[in-house]
Amino acid sequence: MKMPRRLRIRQSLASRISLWVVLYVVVTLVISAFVGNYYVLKIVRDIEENGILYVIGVRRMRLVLTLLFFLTLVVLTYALRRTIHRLIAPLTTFTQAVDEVAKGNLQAKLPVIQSKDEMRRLHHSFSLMQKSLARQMEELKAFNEAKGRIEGELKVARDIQLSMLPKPFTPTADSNKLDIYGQQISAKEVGGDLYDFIIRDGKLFFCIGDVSGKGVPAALVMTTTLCQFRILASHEDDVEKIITYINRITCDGNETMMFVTFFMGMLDFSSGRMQYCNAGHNKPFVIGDGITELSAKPGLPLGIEESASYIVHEYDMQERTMLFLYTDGLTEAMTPQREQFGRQRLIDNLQSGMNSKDQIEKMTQAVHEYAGDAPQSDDLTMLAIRYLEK
Amino acid sequence: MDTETYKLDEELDSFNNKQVQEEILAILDKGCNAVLDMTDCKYISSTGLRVLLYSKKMAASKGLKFYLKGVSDEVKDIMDVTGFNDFFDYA
Repeated sequence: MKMPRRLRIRQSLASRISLWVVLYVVVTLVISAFVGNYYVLKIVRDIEENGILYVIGVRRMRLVLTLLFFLTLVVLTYALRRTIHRLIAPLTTFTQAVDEVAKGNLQAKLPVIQSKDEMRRLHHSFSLMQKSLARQMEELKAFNEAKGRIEGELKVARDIQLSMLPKPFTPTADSNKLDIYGQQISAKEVGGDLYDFIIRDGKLFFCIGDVSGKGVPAALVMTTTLCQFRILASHEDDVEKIITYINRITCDGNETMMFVTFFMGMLDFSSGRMQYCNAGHNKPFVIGDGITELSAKPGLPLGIEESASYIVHEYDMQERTMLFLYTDGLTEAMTPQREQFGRQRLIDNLQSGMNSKDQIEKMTQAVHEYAGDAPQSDDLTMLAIRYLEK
Repeated sequence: MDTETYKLDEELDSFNNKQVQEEILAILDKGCNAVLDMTDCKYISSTGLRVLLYSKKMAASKGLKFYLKGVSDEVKDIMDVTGFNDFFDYA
């Protein structure tokens, strides 16, 4: 930055100090010379005219010159010290001002500088720094306020999202053959995972899904997908129609290629007959006497191709078996060293005979223990549906 | 029509997806078919999959093609599970 014209150093501090030094030295030496000269001449006259002994004269001369030397030294030291202190006195005030700023008082007063030397430049730089700091602190304050507002809004959004997910299942006379528990733990304030279940007319309609990505964008798509499922499943029995329709809606206006892996099914709980479709989602496990992965050839995830088609699979659920659905936040949960939980560990933590809530809590515990201190990398969602009896 | 290749030297996830997307779009903007060389890529996240989907969509809209090359077993598994195995074109 070019210094304004009037701030260019006309005379550096060093040259001013040396000017004073030279001045003092010259003046003091000249005065000493005159005084010394006078006394030496007097002594010489005393020796030649008044008969003072030569030796005594020399002694007097030595005394005079020595006294003069020390007097000169003292006067010079005193005068120089005073002058230099005066010239650099503003530095002390600067130091005090810096301490004030460090304590947080950005309005600390700076010394007034009349000279056009380094002090003036220091003053200018310091003043600029004060103004810059004040401005940055204002900006930081505004930024923190905005951040606080956004965090507040996200908290509210999280509550809204949680309330959209199904209420905890309570068996009724119709549905006491079932035990259902679901859970969504989002990686950020709001999540992109969804699950739902609806019971009507002796049938259970259920789904689980995972929107690509996480955070607010995924949460927005999550809510529309969830709503679509809920609306359709409340009056449409045909599983293929439901999933095809949801896919078409999701493709509509999907410029940013957000897609949703999705698994949905319908269980007739008097017969145990289940029909299901898979749109690119992790295949669920069936836990009975053993543990098997449900066969479900994946079609394309929702939102990619309007004309995508989905195969309807059928499966007969046996009594006292559990269908365990999950999203890849479970298998892809990572340690700080980025090792994944994996499919095998998932299978190892599935247990026959557990109720749905206990099974999900056991799995959640296993993931948390495995991942340790690593931050949650993806939304973690599970839905367990236990079919008790026909 | 010319074909240009962009090589991925690592995972495709939310850290590098913007940069990779820009590289592929730059190739398509030049009027060339684009090939994504994934030989060194061992993992792809859903954000990464979106890059592939968007690239294919953009290529189609310009009358160009988008190919994948050197897909590793791990990435192939991910794409099998998510139903994408028949969706992309391979070089």
